[in-house]
Order: sequence, then structure tokens, then C-alpha cells
Amino acid sequence: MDEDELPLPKLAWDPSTNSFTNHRSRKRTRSTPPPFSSDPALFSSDDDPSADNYTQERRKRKFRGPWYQQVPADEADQKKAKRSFQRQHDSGVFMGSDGTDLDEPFEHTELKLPLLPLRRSRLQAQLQSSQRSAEDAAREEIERCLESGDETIELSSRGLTTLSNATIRPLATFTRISEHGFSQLKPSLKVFLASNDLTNLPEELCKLESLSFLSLRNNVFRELPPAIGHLHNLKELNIANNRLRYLPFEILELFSTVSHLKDLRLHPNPFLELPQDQLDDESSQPESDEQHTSSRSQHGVKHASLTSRIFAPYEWNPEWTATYKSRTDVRYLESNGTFVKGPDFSSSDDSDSESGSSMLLEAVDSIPVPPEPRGNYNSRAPSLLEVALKTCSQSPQLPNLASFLHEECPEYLFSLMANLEAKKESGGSKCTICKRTFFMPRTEWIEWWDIAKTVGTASASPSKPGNQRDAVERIIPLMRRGCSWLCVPKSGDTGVSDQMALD
Amino acid sequence: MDNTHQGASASAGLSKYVTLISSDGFEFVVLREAACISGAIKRMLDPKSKSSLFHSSELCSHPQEKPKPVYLRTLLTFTHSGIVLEKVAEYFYYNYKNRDREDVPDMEIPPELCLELLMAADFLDT
Repeated sequence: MDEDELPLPKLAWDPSTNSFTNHRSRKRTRSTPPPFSSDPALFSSDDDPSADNYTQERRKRKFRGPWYQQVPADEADQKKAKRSFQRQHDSGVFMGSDGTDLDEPFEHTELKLPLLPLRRSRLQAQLQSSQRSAEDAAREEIERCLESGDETIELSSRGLTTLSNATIRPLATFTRISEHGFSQLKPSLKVFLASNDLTNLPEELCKLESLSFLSLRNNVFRELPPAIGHLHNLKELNIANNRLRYLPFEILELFSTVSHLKDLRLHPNPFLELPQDQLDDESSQPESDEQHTSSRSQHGVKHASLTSRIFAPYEWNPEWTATYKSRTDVRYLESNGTFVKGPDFSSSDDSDSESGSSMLLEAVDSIPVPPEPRGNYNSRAPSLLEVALKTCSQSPQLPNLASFLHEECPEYLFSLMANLEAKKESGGSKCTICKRTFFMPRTEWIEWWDIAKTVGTASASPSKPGNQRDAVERIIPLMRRGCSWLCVPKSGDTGVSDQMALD
Repeated sequence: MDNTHQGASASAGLSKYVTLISSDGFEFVVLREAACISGAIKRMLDPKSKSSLFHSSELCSHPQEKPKPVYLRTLLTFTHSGIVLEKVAEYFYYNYKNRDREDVPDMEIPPELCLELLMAADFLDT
């Protein structure tokens, strides 16, 4: 009797639940895939049921399966231009009534061709500037890329000195249509602006969501606009060989979880370096860190991201670690931009060594003391000048506003208006403490952050201590600006980071 | 902070309010504390400041005269029109009201006034 009985399937012991479980599915298994329950739906398209389509024999596209998985079977046929019922101008048949029509197209082409270049050249003669034509060439190139769906916008070595928003704006409409016809693909634009003479990045470029590669190598940027942090889909950024002494604080956003940065080229640039004694302190710290990583290799990454989160304004992307190192004293500015007190780092562009040595590092727990207020108190409210400038910048007349200024008003107001326009072009800036958009910074200070690729450092850690220069170059100065004299780092780093969860 | 200051100003014989007079004759009575946000007004009203002799209205026409005791001066005339000065006064109160706030709301000014206010801001040092 025992032999007749079928053996029961074996049960597996699951230690997590402390019970026997049956992993087998209850369904009968098949050696062959099940046949279709019925034939897949077969249908033909009749996208355009107009009568014109039925005047001659027409091949219908045939589809198999649900519509959303469709790839048209006859893609090639589709590309053939459909013959329409329109009258052909040059039919080769002369008819009496056609006499006048026949001449017309010829007249048009002959007249138009010489007219356009003529007007062009006259315009160019009026402008008399080579940079205009350089930007025109850039505009044409962008136009061409848009037309042909070319994702690589190559604008290197074109002698560009300015790049306006109007030039870049068409790129925002870049769309890639897949060959399958039904879906729109997300483009990933590559913009090469290397080896030009650019000093300003237009705001529109920082708004390009589909930008995945940006090269600004070998230009003359002194500052990057804070808006660069908005390029969340950027995979590679190359800003080597510029005149950058610091980066905007907002660039940290590129290392956060919302961004996809893979590769970053920063050097060479004349970055402000963390003073040497400070660096020695810091370099001893990573060494001890590395000892830890060797012992806990698998938890290393997790731990690193955890420690960095303590000082982190963002949730870091696991591929990058960014840690706050140190900061300078706060530099205070008057509402009209004149210097009040604090270290000097932004203005002295040429005397590198001097400013580097005069850089005052602030002890971590010191509280910045604002200068004597003009009124009886310091407030976070913007100055009247700031309020007026903000209204000016919102005006569509901004480029013309300066000409309406009274002649007797001080010279600096004119330059303010010019700056305002440039600032608006590059996207404005937000207070890194209270997020208010501002034009005139009232406080400035530089923070040094240690930025490194997690994967890279883990593999390169044995050789790291040997190369002092690498350790120096990992530490990046970031410029932070505040909109009022009270927008300053709070005592200690942790206080700062709590304040500024930026997104 | 303002309490102590107002106490101080009261004890020094300073009035609590000052009057700003526009070029077209409008008068705006503003809290002295609020108006002192402007560096220029503060200097004009400061009993110890020398510049107060020249910027203030009644006296600047006759600088050679012996100045009156400064703490009496509460009238300030401006070359700005009433429309502009009204916005200036509004700004003083906007700043005063938000002096201790962490998140300060934006102040809206009409776009047609932005240039005049820009120059007023320059003049008033605010």
C-alpha cells in the first residue's frame, strides 16, 4: 500500500519564519510555453480616412498585437512622400491659361536670391562686430542641430565672447522622435563650448533639462552662475582651464540624489586654496578614515555617506561624497555694494599669492559679528535699493531703463543697471541661507568642501597619501552669498546645514 | 531694542515721530525709529552729526545762521514727489515691521516708480 502512494513534495525549512514552506507553485508545470489562448489581434491602420487616400491602391499597414507595442512593419514605405492631388506647376503641358503662372515661380527665385544676402551684408556692415557674427554662426549651428536632430552641439573654438539667452532658447524645444513613431524619446544634449572667450553662461543653458554633457573648458569664466546647480541630468561637466577662483555654492546640488553627475573636471583653475596648516589637519583625518575603510570594506560607503550627511545640505548621491571642511570669515557689503568689513577675496583677481595668504580662516564655532547697522537694528528685510532693483529686473524694459536714469544720479547706478541685466541673463541668485532671490549680496564667504567620487577614492586610497597635490585639489572653494547681514553661517557647521536644506 | 532706543530718544528730548515733506507739499508722519533705517535721515536727525546742519530743510537754506537746537528738528523736506515719498514711508514701515522676522515677505512697488525709488534709495542710503 505504501508503494502505491505517491511521494509528497518535500517541504523546505525556512529559518526566517521558523516553519516549513512549500516553494513549489501550485500550478502544474509545463515543459513548453503555453500556446496563445487565441490568435493575437490583427488590425490594419486607417489613420487618415480621407477620400484622397483611396484614389489609388494603398497599402495598409498591418499590425499584430496590442497597439501600444506597435512598430509599423513598413517604416520604409511610410517615408516615401505621399503623392497628393495637387497640381504640379511644371507639368510639361502647356495650356493657354497657364501662361502667366509659368513665369511667376522663375521671377520669384531669381529676385529673392540676390535680395537676401544683400540685406544681410548691409546689416552686418552696420553692426561691424565680429562677435555678433560669431554668435550668428553659433545660432545657425544650433538651428542645424535642431533640424537634423543632432544631439551634439559643437560650438568649440568659435571665438564666442557672448552667448545670449535668445541663442540657446531654441535648444529647449529639442525633441527626439523615436523610429517607432509612437513615443518621444528624451534627448540627451551634449553642448561643447570649449576654447571660446566666454565669461557668462546664459540662464537658458542652465534650464536645459536634457543637457547631459557640458564642456566649458578653456574659457575665461571668473564665476559660474548659481543656476548651474539646476542641471540635474548633467552627467559630465568640464570647467577646466578657466579663471575660476571659486565655484557657486549651488553646484553642490549636482552631487545630490536628484542629479546624475558622473564625471567632473575642475582643474586646472586658480582656485583659492585652503591654507596649508588647515589642510594638514584635514589630511590626517582621511587617513584615519581609510584605516576604518580597510576594516569595514563593505560598510565603508554607507558610513561615508552617513558622516557627510551630518554636514549635508542635500541628500548625497551615493557616487559622491562632499564634506564641509572650513570657511573664511564673512565679508560684509553695503546695500550699494561697497565693502564694509571682512576678508577680501573676490575683488583681488590678479594678486593670487597675496590674497591667499591674507585669507582668514574662521574657527568652526565662532559666530560672525555683523557691522554696525545704519539704522538702529539689523534686519533681514531687503534694502530699498534692493527692492527697487528687483522691480527693475522684472520690468520688460530692463535694457532701456538705464537710459531713463537721471543724468545727475551717481555713476554707480548706471553700472548697477548693467550688472542687473547681466545677472538676469545668467539666472539671478538666491540667498544660500534664506533662499530669497537677491541682486546685491550683503554677505559673502567661502566654504571649502572636500568633494570626491566615492568609487574613485576607495580604489585609489592606497596611493592617496603619497600625492599631496591630489588632496589639495579635492578641496573646492565654494562661494556662499547672503541677502542680508543676518544671513550668515550659524555657529558650528551643523547649525549651517540644518538651516539650508536647499531643495 | 526699540523700546530702549525710544526710551533713550524720549529722554534726550527727541520726538517720537518725524515728518517727511515732499516737494509737492505732502506730509508723511513717520515713526522716528522707522525712518532712521535710512542712513541719511539718521544723520540728519542725529543731534551730534554735523551733516545734519546741511541736509535738513529749514536750515539748509540759511547755512550761515546759527542752527537751532537739533533735537527740535522733526520736519524734513525732500526733493522727491509725494508719490515717491509715500512709497519710501511705506518701505520704512515695511522694514520696521519685519525687523525681527526670519522670513520677510516681499514688498511690491509699482514698476513705473522703480527708477525714482532707486535714486531715492541712493539718496537716503537705505
